[in-house]
Amino acid sequence: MNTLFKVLAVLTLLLLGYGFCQAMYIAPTEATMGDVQRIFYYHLPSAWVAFLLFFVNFLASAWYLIRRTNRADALALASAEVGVSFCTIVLLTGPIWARPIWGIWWTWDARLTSTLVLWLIYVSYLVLRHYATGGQVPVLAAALGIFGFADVPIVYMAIRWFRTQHPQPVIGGGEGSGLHPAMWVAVLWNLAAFAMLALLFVWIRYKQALAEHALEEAHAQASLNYETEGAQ
Amino acid sequence: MVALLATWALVVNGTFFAALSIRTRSREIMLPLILFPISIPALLAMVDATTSILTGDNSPIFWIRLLAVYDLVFTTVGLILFEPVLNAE
Repeated sequence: MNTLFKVLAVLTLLLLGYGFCQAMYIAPTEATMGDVQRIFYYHLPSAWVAFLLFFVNFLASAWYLIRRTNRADALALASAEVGVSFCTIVLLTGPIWARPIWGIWWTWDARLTSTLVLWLIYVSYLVLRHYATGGQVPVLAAALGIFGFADVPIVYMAIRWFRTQHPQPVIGGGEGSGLHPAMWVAVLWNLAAFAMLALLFVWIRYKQALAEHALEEAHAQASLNYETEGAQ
Repeated sequence: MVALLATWALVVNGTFFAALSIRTRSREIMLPLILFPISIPALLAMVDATTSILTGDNSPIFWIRLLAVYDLVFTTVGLILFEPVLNAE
């Protein structure tokens, strides 16, 4: 695992660097918005990666409820945590862009609100994991993970259903939408870099959660042995 | 129609998450914390549907449909997950 992990880490670093070059220097400057638009190369990949991670969380939760393995639970925890951090990036880069373009940091617009709601759901998921007791944690968390994911499509479609202030979908949208090919290159490189970064984080957190679980079991076993010895 | 669907959505979610949060520490805080974000789409749909019915400006069909789909999805998920959550040891 270690060599593969190191290779992946170096590769991710290179990709991040290259993606940064692409976004900052190579991609053409947007005609009306100017350089501020470049934050889009970070905003969109993090949003997609966050959605992807919540989907992974959903799959892992369902897998846990069916099979009840520690691996599924560890994966669910890892993907939720990393997903929340990427969702935070989305919620931070959005206002930074909106301030010079819209003139305001935040507006209670459908897309913005629904992303905030999504973030809240997964934060409450993490809080629940913290506050539930003992062996029920994974079951309860898995149930909430599945419920929470039912909200993701609503968030995703919000941009199409409502007349929002958020820009219409640039990719796969209607007439007149679309990116300059050179911008596409930058988006794809950054998307690859962010997906790799997320994979690395999830992997390391997953291993850690598994180790934590093994440690807890060992502790329980040790104290059990101690008690039985003490009784004899 | 809207009142019926909206009440159903709130009841289904409320029951499920009450059953869920009863197993946690400091459940008085946990219940609203979890229930509110999950219910926001339903709340949004019922408010908008009522607004468009009362003002008559837009058609409420879209919101009613969203509310119906929301009810369907959450009732199904709730029924499936209710037992594992109640039996969580």
